[in-house]
Amino acid sequence: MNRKFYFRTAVLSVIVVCLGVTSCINKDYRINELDKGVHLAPNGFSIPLGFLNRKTLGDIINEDLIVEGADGEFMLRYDDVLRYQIKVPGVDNISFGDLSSFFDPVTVSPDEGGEKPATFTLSENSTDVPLDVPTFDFAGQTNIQQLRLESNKVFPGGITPGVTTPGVTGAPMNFTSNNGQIEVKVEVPYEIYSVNTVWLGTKNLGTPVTVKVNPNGLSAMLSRISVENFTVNLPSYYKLNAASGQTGTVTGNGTNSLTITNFEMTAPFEMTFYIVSLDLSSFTRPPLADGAWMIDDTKTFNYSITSKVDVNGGTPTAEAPQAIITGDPAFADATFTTADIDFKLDQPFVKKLDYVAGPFPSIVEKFNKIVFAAGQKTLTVSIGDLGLPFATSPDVKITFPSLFNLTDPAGRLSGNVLTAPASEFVGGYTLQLNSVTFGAGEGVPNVGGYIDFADYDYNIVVDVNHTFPTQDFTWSTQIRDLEPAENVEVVIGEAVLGIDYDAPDNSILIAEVSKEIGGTNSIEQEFDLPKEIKNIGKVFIDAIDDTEATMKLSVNIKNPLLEEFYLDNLMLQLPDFVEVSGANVDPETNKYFETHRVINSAGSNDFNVTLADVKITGLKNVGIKTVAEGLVGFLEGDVEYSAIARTPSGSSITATDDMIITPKLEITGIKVTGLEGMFDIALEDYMDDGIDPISLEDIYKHLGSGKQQPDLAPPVITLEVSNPVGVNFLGNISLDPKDGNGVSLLENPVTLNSDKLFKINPATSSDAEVTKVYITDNGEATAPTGYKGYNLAVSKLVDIIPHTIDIDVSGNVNPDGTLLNTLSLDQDYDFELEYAVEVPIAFGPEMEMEMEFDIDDMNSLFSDLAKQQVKAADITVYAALAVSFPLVLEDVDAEFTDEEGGSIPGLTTTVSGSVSGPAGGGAVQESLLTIKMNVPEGGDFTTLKDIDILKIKIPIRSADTSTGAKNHLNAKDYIEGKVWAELAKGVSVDLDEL
Amino acid sequence: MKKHIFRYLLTVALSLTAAGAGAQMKTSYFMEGSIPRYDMNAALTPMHNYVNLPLLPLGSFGMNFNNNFLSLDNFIYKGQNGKHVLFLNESVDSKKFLNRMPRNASLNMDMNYNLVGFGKYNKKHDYFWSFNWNLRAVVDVNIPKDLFRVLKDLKNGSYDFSDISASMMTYSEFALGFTMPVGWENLVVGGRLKFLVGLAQAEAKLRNVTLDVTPTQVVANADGTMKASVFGMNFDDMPNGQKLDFGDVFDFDRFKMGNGFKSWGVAIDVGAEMKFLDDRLKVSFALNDLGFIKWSGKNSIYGDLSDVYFEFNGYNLNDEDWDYVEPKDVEFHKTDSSKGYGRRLSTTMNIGAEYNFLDNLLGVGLLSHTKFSNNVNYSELTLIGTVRPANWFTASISHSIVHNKFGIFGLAINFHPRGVNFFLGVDYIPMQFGEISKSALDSGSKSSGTIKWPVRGKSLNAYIGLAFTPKGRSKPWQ
Repeated sequence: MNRKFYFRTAVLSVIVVCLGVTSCINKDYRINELDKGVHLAPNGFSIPLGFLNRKTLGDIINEDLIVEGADGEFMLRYDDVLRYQIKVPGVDNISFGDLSSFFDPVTVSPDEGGEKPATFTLSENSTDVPLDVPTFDFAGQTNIQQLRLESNKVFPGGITPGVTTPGVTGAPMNFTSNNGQIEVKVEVPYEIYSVNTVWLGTKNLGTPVTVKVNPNGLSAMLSRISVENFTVNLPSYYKLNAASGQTGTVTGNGTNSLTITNFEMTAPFEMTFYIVSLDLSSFTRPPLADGAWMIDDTKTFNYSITSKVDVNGGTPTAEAPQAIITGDPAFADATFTTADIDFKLDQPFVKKLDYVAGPFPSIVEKFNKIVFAAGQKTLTVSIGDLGLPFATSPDVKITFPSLFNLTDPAGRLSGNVLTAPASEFVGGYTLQLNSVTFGAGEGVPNVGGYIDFADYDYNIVVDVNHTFPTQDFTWSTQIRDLEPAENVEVVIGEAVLGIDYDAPDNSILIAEVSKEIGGTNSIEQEFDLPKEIKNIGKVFIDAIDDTEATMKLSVNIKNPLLEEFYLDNLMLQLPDFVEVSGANVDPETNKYFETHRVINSAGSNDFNVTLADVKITGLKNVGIKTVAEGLVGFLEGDVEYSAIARTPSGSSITATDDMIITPKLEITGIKVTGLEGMFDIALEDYMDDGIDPISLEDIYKHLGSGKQQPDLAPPVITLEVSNPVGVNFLGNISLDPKDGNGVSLLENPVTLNSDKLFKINPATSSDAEVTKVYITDNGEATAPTGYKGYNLAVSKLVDIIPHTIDIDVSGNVNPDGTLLNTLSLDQDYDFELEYAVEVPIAFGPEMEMEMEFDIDDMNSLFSDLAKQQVKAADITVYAALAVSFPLVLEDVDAEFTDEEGGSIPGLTTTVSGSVSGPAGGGAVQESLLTIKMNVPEGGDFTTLKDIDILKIKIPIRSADTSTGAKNHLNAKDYIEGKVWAELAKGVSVDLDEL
Repeated sequence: MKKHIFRYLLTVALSLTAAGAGAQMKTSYFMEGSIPRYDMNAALTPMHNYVNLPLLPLGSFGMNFNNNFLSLDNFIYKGQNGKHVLFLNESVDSKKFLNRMPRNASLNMDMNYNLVGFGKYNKKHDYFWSFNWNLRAVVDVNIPKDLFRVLKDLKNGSYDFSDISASMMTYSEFALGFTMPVGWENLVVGGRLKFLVGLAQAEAKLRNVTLDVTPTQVVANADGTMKASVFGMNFDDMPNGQKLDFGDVFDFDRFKMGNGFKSWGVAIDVGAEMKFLDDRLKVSFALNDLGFIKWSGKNSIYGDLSDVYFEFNGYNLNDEDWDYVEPKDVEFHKTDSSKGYGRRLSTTMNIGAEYNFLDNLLGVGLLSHTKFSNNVNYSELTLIGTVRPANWFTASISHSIVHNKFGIFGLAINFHPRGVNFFLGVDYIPMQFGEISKSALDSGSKSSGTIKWPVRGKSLNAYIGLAFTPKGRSKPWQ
């Protein structure tokens, strides 16, 4: 054997091994069929299905009808609120028509109490007021002491003696200018500020000044000498004029320089010119002057003469011509400026009035005011001419007594003080006298019936207090002739102060006048009433359009005796069918009374006065009667009034006619809003829709379909009736339990006996009155605070659980006549009835019930499990439960059915154990409920594919079965537990089916 | 969406890569011409120089799948009426099933994909050196026995699922090997120094996992952690100490090549072979993958699975809804980038002894293979027979006798003429197969075909390699 052999052997071995490996099939694992069914937990196991944490019945029970009480206790409760409106028709407003003639008029004469006053006149009188006018110092004393003009001088440079004058015709021969002195001297009174123009001689003509020329050496030549020019120049305040008829040519008239040419001097060579006036205004009173002052002015004046000589002249001598000028002027007139001059009286002049008025009739106690017709009475004041040389007149102030009410048409009167220039009074200054007003204690006639004005201080005061300002005045005469007036008389004009009684403004106080007045009459009125009224104790009324109901007595007064008079003991008796209120009204007697009423006409001669305006608050004593048209109410009663009309002492009578008092009674329309009395009202008439039955369908569905012996605690019915009407009602409730077919379960409904109806209290204000009613088997004894209890055998309602309970509530007016019922008419009353039917879920010891319910729509689960070949032969569901509610759930029955309720063949479901709650407040213990499902055919779920419904029936009984026990379900009661499933043989599943 | 798809693809790819996990072909251990055995013992060099190219078939790829519970006969039983049933069928005794389940069921996969590799003897023929660039992946899963107990025998009571764990690690391995005789040619020692670049690592550990089932409540508790490190991902911007959304954490926007190469590690392989009795008896010892990888904190994220709680109470009749407490989501937290974490490699230890007959034509050897993985240690004792009929062909047959029941054999062939080296081997070839009709698996199937499946085999592996063997001297010290 060589290596080739081994190699071949090795290769062959490898091939053999490989073939062997790939071809060796273990017969035990030649798998043609593989059962993919898996069996989980073949020795059984339990899995949690679920749990219920502590859950209170409050969380579980979610029925609308099941509510919790204050402590959580459950109760069936059905409540509702019924609201409906009650309305009794209203009545028309009650109208009493026109009662203006209800009482007769009454006349009251002004002389009811004494003599009617006659017309009288005040005594005539006048008043002279002497007025001492002051004088002036300058009158007659002012003087121009001196005015002198003189010149007597030879013309210097004259002629040459012994020389014949040249024989040339017309040869000039001039006289040298000459001069002289002129002086003016005047003593001026202090009141004169300055002397202005002084006219000399004859005013405007002037005083002549003579110019004489003594030719002396020329005397022989005079015939051949002619004057060609004469010129004189005086001081500037002189004004010169040439003499009338002056030959030659004159220039400078009216100035202080006068020239006359080409005139011939008359023998003995004379001429004349005039000094017309002087202007001394530049001389004013020295500032420090104290008394008369002086104007003293001396001036030099000059003049000249020019002459010519005829050709045949002579031979002059040596003596030169001499001119002589003289003048002695006399004052003709002058103007001057006065200084400020005070013109006043040493003291005002007072004149006390001394009228005497009367006689007046004795009824006149005092005059207050006498008013005169407009324009009828005047008061004139006259003052004589003061003769003053001034341009203006001094103001005179006259103060009249307050007695007079004056009007000055010229508007110079301020109050009772008249101020006007004295010149205005010359010829009389007339004031309008409107009235005479007497003050307190004045104007009272004396015993003889006279009013002596001298008894009072009625004074007229005249005063002059005037300052003339510095002003120019021109005397119409020479100044030395001035003399002002003295003792000028002021005259207060006569006034005829007659009193006219017809003058409405006159006011005279008179003595008292009185008279009793009054009247009585009856009144009746009917009005329709609604049928619900059985009788009326009182009628409530309201305003109509904001006008309150009143009964008013007013009077129309014509010709009132006085502007103000009295009605004493004024009484108005109102009818007894009205209820009244207000001042001066006694609601018990319906009498209005005032002891003293002042009537004031306010100057009217025809006016209305309301004497009593009494508010009507209601009607009473209203009768009811049935007439053909229906039910009517009627009102009957008397109205009376009385008073004493009186003019009080001291009244001012303003009329003389009879005063007519016409009473007028007015009753406004009355709106009836409500009544107090007895009515016929049934509440059910206003319940349009009635009361829906109480539906217990949901409760019945759970508890009512099986065995029923609920042994429930008695139901409690509570009513809260909100009665907005002031009417007492008696109410009743009717409860009728019915089965599903609407058949009553009781022979008669459960209702209150007619003599034990519950009372519905009336509203006593605008708020509804709430009446709380508590009805149960022993309601009278067990009613809670605030409720009125009534006994009613309501336990019968829940002997078995009904489908529905018909409920009916009714109410009628309580016939008890002692009760006060009030009702507003035509008003919608919102009546509210809140009721509740409560059934405590408290089971008695005899309770035996069954609760049945289905768990459906399970087919999809079981059909799916069946499809997946699931097998679970022995299934037990355990529920470990702990309940605190006092019930026992035992003999529970559970059955799976198909959709039609049919049994599932071979499937048995066994329930064992019970769930027990504690009895009488005992400790909670856990209960174990076992539901064993025996699935046929080894747990093959295909046999369960038709399962759709699990029907569960749970008998329930009370945990506490002792006599009188109450097993009350409480919202705080709870249930808790865990549920798990035991699969005693596990679960088989075919993986092919998953 | 696109980036998510990419991310998932990356994850799957890495996982698949890991699924192969560093396979060591035990049957090849005494095949002197084979290259795979060099991966099991650095002293066992191939006979010729070799070059592996990165793409199959011009490379090598090995994968290994090991577990201690997954076998057909453990989960399908022959039932009554000739039908086979699943282990959950009521006819299968729970005690019988559970007795077959180990106390800790484990599952391990590893893969080694040689991208580039070559080995060469030096001219002086006194040493052999090699370089290999491998892509390696390891997956470990550990399942407690109570999980099977719950499935098969659910009862009210308590169950303990503690120490459920799963881990995965992929990395790139750059190995530089050196082998030389020492002293005399009867002793050859070798070693390889490996530089490792971490690609991905993920692990989840659940401790104190309990399940309590009572009639009124089911409660499950778990407490564990999770870590992950991914090549190229940067979690630095994630806030510390805050719960992070999974989508935000594994967003591919975080991937940048610049973030890669942050996780690295080193490992060594050492091996020795001693020959006795004129080379008829060869005794060898090797430790492989003795090293670690430090996974960068920058690439890492931490998942908190502490206090995971589930509760089921059934239907809540109060709230009218099912009452349960959902376990909370995994809370991711960033790992401190300055720290990172280290994971050792799954070190393997091979001890072998072979006796050759007939001038080395036949050999019989025994190989003890122990793997020290993160969660569980695997040990196998494999009896290997080798035939070397030509100097270019070797074949071996093996049987592992610890985890696998009798009837599981390994087979490997190696053609190694000069110029090429082809290897194909499988460690776990079941001798018995179950034949399952497709209709049995799917009642709705109309196919008449069958599926063969090992009856008792729990492990699978395969190794295929194709390498060039350039001209050069053969192994000088054989």
